[in-house]
Amino acid sequence: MMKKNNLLKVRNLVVEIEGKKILNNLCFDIEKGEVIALLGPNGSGKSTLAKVIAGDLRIKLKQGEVLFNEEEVSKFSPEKRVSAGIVLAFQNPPSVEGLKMVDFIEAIEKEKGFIDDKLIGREVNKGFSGGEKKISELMQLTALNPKLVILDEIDSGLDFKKTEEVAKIIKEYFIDKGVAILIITHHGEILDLLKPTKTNIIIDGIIVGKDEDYKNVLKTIKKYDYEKCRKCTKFLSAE
Amino acid sequence: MITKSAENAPNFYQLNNDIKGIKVLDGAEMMPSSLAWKKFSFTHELFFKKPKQGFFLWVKKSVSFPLHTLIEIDSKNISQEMSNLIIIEKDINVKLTSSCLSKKEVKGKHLALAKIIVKDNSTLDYTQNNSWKKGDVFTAHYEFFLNKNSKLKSKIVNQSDGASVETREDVYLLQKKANADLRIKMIASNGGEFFSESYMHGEDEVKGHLECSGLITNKDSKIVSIPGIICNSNKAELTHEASIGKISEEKLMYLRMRGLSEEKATELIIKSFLNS
Repeated sequence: MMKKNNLLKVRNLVVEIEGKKILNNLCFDIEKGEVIALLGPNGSGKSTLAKVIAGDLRIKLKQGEVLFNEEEVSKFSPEKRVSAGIVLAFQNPPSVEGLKMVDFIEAIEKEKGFIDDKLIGREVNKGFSGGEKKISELMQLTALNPKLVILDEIDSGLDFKKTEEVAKIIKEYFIDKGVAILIITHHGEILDLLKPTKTNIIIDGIIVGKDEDYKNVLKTIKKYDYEKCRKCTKFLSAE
Repeated sequence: MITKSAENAPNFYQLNNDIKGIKVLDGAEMMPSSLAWKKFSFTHELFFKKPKQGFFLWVKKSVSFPLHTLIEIDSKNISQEMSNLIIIEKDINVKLTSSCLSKKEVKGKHLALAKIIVKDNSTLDYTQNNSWKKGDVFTAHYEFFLNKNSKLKSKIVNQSDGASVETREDVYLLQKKANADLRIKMIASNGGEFFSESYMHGEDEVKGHLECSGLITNKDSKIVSIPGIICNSNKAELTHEASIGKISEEKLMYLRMRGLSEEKATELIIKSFLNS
């Protein structure tokens, strides 16, 4: 049975790419309006998990289920998942030459979202700096009226000022409106600004630990590195 | 300068084998090519041969609004044989869009021979849109002649939804400081086939860029694209690039993950390809 406030429940996810297990029987929950952080080393399966939840059809699920608002959505098309309320900000979004942001937003818009006047007249992600790509992703997602926003490395490559700008948009358009957030990150700055209520560690495709205090998690990673997180007793017990 | 505002009607409109309308322009001659052949003997050297169909456009003053020609087929077994001649006089700017298309599946044939002459210090912004359907046969040869300090900015868009398309473009940069930027876009879908040759010829201190890009939307379609630069001068600066690809799965998934259906996302990617 799902808890009353449960928004997302993923169970026993297994994804194999070229014979290698990227997600290894992974289980993970998010409650409605919750702000969750997910940390892990490169290649730990963070982005794959994000894409599986958001419905990237290029990733085949070998086993497991994705329940969203008590509905099994793992067979849903990506667009149907957007309709259900799941959206993903890409770490490296592709550019779409010839498509202006203004026309793209108009094509996808469900509600008025954040608009950056400097980007709206340009072609989608064409020649965008790292920071502009992140703002572009948020312009798109804020127009989609989501219930769960997955932010894949939304702070990577940003200076502190830009991280603050990104965090401000996330807070205003999502967190303050009770939209659940999954923040996938390597860095602490954005967590200081968004203050997740739970932080999870993923290694080798499985959640190995979690803690309610993200500072504690960051401190532990800094001290022992990810590989030692498995044995870290300061975290709450792994599922 | 011609400043009369443009109405929606094209300046030259031919449906099947009938001329449906010619909009008279102040400062420009627009007439059927066959009439131009009779009226202006100098055109005999410029047309490929004595024209049966097609239009003659002779622009003598700058035009502040875009000119438009439209050639359509909507009936079965129609064969069009167009000979078009466009002359842009000295020191003027013109924007021209020409469209040739079949409105439905009619197994039409369209042959287009076009000669476009841009005289000294003039600029032509030229867009050619060709869209043909299953069973259509489209053959075209466009020749551009650029004189001293003249400029051509041109985009030729060929869409084949199952049609057989054979095209050739030649841009002759004849005199000092002539400048051309020609972009050719091809979209092959539903078994559409392209054989496209495009050449930029540099014969003086000139600058030219040729870009050919193709998009194949399904496995039964085919594009052969041969871009070339032919240089007869050590002062000419010519470049070209070419690419043919399928619809990017990454872009398609990106758009679908923004809530667009596969059909709508594909449509948007094709539209963006044409706009780029």
